[in-house]
Amino acid sequence: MSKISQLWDPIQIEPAQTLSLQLGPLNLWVHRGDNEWYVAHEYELQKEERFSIEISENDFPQDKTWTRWIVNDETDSIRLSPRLPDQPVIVRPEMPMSLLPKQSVQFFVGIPVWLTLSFGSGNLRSIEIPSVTLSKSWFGPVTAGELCYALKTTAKLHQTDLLSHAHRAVFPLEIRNISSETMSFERLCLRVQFLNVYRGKTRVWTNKGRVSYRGEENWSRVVYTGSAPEFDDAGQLLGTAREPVSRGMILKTFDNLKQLADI
Amino acid sequence: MEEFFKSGMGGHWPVVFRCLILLGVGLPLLRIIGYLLRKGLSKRFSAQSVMLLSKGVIYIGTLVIILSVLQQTGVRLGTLLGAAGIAGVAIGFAAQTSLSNLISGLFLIWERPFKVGDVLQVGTDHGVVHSIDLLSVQLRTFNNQLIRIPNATLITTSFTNITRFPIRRMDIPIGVAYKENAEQVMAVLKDVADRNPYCLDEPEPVIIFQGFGDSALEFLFGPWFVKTDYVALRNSLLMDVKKRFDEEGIEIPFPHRTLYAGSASEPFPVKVVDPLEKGTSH
Repeated sequence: MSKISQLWDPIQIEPAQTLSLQLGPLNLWVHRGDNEWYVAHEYELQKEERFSIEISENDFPQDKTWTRWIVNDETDSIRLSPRLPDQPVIVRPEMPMSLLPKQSVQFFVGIPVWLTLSFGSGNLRSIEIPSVTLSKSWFGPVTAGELCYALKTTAKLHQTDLLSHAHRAVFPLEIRNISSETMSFERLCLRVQFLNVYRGKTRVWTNKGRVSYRGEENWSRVVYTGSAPEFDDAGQLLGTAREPVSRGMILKTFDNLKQLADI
Repeated sequence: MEEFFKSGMGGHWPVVFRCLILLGVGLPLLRIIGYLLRKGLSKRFSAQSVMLLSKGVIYIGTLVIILSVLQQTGVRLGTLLGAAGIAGVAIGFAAQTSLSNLISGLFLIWERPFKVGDVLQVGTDHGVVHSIDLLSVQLRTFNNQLIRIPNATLITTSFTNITRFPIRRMDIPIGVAYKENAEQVMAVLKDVADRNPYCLDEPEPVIIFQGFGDSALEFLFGPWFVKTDYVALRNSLLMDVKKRFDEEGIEIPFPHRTLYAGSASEPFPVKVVDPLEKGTSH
């Protein structure tokens, strides 16, 4: 299996076989035993562009920290699904950016995915494993803000500039400055829990987002579309959003939007 | 009531039965109501309010049951309450401290400086707030002991609520040898904080060159963290700092003192004695 898009299909594993996956900094091992499965993972820093997967016989590395999962003996396959992080992500561009009045820009932000491991055709979810250990960050005042993940990334302006990071889902984000003042921002809080993950031809994608900046004194407006983006033939839904787009989401978004005025 | 006992139990079985019913059903029922209140309201109200409400219901309910039982047995409640009023004055004098704690407890509940589950430091004691009662607050220490602090003490003394806010700063004093480059030390500390997953990226860690100490250049290293990550951060961060300092060749000096007699006077005469020579001289 060499293509990243095939990673999300069911993977057949025979007894005593071990699957070894390298996805960005993540090393994942899944071993099938008698009536039980073993899962282990660890991270190697500075290995952003890796992707490889192989199944080997009687290879059970003893030096890993394994967890055991008991399932029916008919279960002979696993499935990996990408989901976005369980908390908002603060994206910090490489350098401070400004958007002039009445201008808009399309960014492509790579967000590390969490891998959900399911057993068998019944999709029995077992564990979620982050592909990267993200450091934590705080959004808002120190007395009542919100816990987020910090992501140091370069928000790309063109799809062609995207690096081939298999463990990142690309979030197409449009920012519009509909105010009459210059919009300056150093960081952006993305509520990724409202985003689905879709299979594209060369990578995975999320639904699109749009932020409309209405001046420092006003709340910005954020809209997340509910469908796959038009890029890279993205279509098949691989991972559902952690929180559905609902009325509750709008309230939370407004909370976020007030803060977005400071970005 | 005298008649009740003089006439024996023979004619009073209905009364005894009613009393037993009141006690046997009423008291367990109160416990169940307390449990249901705690369970039903725990999501809507704070643990403190729920605890207070359930205890209030149980205490008042118990009082009502006892009064009902006394009424069943023929006790005249009017006389009893009159006597209780006189006794109340005497008890009030005797129970000044308890009343003070009780009123302090009401103020604490109203002011809400902490809630069940917060970590408090009161004088030299610290622990997790286990319960907030009308007379006292109970702290469970980290080695699982219980400390009872009267409410009046909490009203009159200052205390620290360590976990009031969701994030905190961990201030770690760090000293390095005088020969080290202060700028490099600050850069290394910043990098250590950046790499540690428990350190918050924002607010940025505080790194201050505090001054020239007796034996070291003194720095304050203060990364921010989520309050639940205290132990994980403390352990990992100190190890990270030591490891990075070792890798970068930055020395953490032990306290030392150099004796200098001054330029005007002669240095102290020092003679190294050979132990063998010392032994043979005797």
